[in-house]
Amino acid sequence: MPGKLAAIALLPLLAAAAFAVAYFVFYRGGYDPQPSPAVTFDHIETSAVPPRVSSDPPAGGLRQGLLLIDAQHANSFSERELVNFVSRVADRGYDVEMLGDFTPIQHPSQVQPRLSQMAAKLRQADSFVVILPQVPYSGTEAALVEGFVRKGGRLLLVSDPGRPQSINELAQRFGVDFQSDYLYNTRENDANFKRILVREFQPDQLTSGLETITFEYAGSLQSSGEGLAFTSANTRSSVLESTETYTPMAWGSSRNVLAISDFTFMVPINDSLMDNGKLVSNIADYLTSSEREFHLSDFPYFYRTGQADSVDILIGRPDLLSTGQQIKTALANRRINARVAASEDFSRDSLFLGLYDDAPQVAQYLAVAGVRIDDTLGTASVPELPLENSTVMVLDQGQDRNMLVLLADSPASLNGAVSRLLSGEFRGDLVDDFVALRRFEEVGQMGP
Amino acid sequence: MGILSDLASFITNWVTIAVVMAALGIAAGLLVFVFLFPGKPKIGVIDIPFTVITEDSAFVITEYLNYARRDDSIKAVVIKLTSPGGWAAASERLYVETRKLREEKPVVLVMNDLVASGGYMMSMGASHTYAQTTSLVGNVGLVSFNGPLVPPIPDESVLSSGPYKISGFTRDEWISTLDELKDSFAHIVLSERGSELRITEEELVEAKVYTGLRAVRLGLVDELGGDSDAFRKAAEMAGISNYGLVDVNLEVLKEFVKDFEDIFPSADKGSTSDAALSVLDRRYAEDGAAPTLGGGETGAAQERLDALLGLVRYGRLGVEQDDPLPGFPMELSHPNFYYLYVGDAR
Repeated sequence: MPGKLAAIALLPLLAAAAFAVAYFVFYRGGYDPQPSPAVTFDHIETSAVPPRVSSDPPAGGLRQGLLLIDAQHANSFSERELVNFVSRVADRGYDVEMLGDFTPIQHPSQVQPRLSQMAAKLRQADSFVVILPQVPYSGTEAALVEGFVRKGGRLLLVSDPGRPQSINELAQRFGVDFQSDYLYNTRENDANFKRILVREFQPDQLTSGLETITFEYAGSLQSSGEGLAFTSANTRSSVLESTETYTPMAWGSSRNVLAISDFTFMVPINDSLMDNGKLVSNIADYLTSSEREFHLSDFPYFYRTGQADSVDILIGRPDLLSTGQQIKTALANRRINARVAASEDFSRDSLFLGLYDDAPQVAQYLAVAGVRIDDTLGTASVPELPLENSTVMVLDQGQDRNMLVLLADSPASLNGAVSRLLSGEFRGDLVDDFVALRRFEEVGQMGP
Repeated sequence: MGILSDLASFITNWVTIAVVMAALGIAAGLLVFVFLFPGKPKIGVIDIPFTVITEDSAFVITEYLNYARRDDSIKAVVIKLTSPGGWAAASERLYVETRKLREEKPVVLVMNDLVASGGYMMSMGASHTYAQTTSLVGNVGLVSFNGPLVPPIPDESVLSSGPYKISGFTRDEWISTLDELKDSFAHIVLSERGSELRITEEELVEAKVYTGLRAVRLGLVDELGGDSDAFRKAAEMAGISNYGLVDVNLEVLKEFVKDFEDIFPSADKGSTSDAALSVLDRRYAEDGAAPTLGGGETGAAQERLDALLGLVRYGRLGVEQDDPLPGFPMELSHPNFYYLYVGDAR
């Protein structure tokens, strides 16, 4: 009996043993999960800087002039983005006009009219802004802008690596090369590595009052001119991948050309971040303090537009009164108000119409321009021109006024000269910046 | 009688009893082990081939993780992952779910071709990670889209109760939020990798992608290795050997099919699917935008299957804006923070 009991006891024993063997065959231990590290986010802070409203007193009071903004080259911006910049320029007294309507040239037949439009507008403008042209400037267009800058016109070139553009064709004419990179800084930035902070500035009127500006998407640029703003030394370029000081704002080949490789800083509401608004104001001051020279070829825009009776029209003899009225009407169409005056006021811009017999009335202006009228007509570069069927135009800019003199051998020749003056054809007669001579071969060429 | 007497004598012989009891004992022990507790150990295998993490794919992957957690026979989990990441919230959810699973069972993750951004975030939930030398790993950061610098002119026909009721953010705040989320991602990596990490936070948030070889050296991944290493490691961490494998993807699909048949009960499997398709047909017919569901091509069949999956499994009714918001004049925007590696398409 005890043997039988012992045999029955084998069942649980061997069951336990089988279980244990199986367990040890398949299980060598257990999973001991390590406690997961705590992941807390308490230290993460918002780094955005609240917008700052900057005061905007114009640096030099109200000035007159025209700021032209290029929109002929499918430029990558909208007028709404420039609204604050334009208002700051306008607050300083300047008119602002868009050149073009943002559409690119669709057909070759549009090339010449656009070029003429640009030439005409640049004759009038004091400052010119080129932002992100997608269609590159042609050689002829760039030459027009070069001529504008040579005369003292101010040029602002703005690029931005975040938008399509083809600005270097123009910029390189002025010693500026916008690099095909973007700048970033992972250590010091305005909430994003591409929103770099700029804190180092070359002392200048343009950088006065600036402590920190932020560019949302700036590139670097190389320029023959002096740098104006510099990134901190730990800034990187997406192309070079090296940390160094980069220049996103610099003068071009002269102080009449300013180049900036970011557009976003002047766009609302980025223009209210840090000192961006102050920079926009400084740029507005810069662009509205142009000291552009106007030459005879710029007729009629050496006369200021929009002022009451800004030009006196003087006639050498009574029978030229209708010609004087014709010019008055033509000037009025260009927003230049003129009046026919009986005598010369040396404090006012004027235009004199006469025949060669009336030359003694304007002898001082002819002498300054080196124009001689006796048996023949002559200047330093054109010594002998027969008087018959000839005309001469002289622009004098002494005594802080503009005096345009038109003389001819006969009323018919004078009408021809006025016709060429108003149509712009006179620019083919220029012998220098201030004198134009013309001799009509036939009476029919003289116009109506 | 003599034979019966002998048999009775044999059965009652204590030796015989001992042999039978021993056999029964062994059998009972094994039966308890196999069928009651703890059973033959298994490693659950979750295979995630190239997957962009979205609301839908995260749902499915979460189902896989949940199954692996629920099944007591699964003592360890191996996840084979290839993902460039995807939606930020969905990626974070997968990290959290993987981490929860890790707290119960070892989770070993094998990084295949690409485990970047949100995919890498998910891998932070694993107990141990492997990459191959040629795997691409990292890309800690996020991508988003912002509106134009100057907001569009508001529609005068739309009324809203506050200046940010519609947009929710200023442009600047959106950019700052991007920065916060980048920091939170970096903090997850720093916390999870701890002292293993041999890369600074500044370098980390540059969001570079590294090869597996480099990632191991930088401490972004534990070891170089493949599937067999992962199984060995999973078994070692779980303390098991002679384990079996469970295809978790397949088991979840089986559950789906079972659910499907519960919803569309029928004695005949063929008519079951017909019944389901007819329901879907009716629904599309009501919307007036349905593809014909009777087609026999593979693409159309897949489309129908996908539609059924959506309809039955996820209850994704009214995903289009017009369904819940008929005539609402403004287009709704989807969340657009992405823990996503885009890559330089060359």
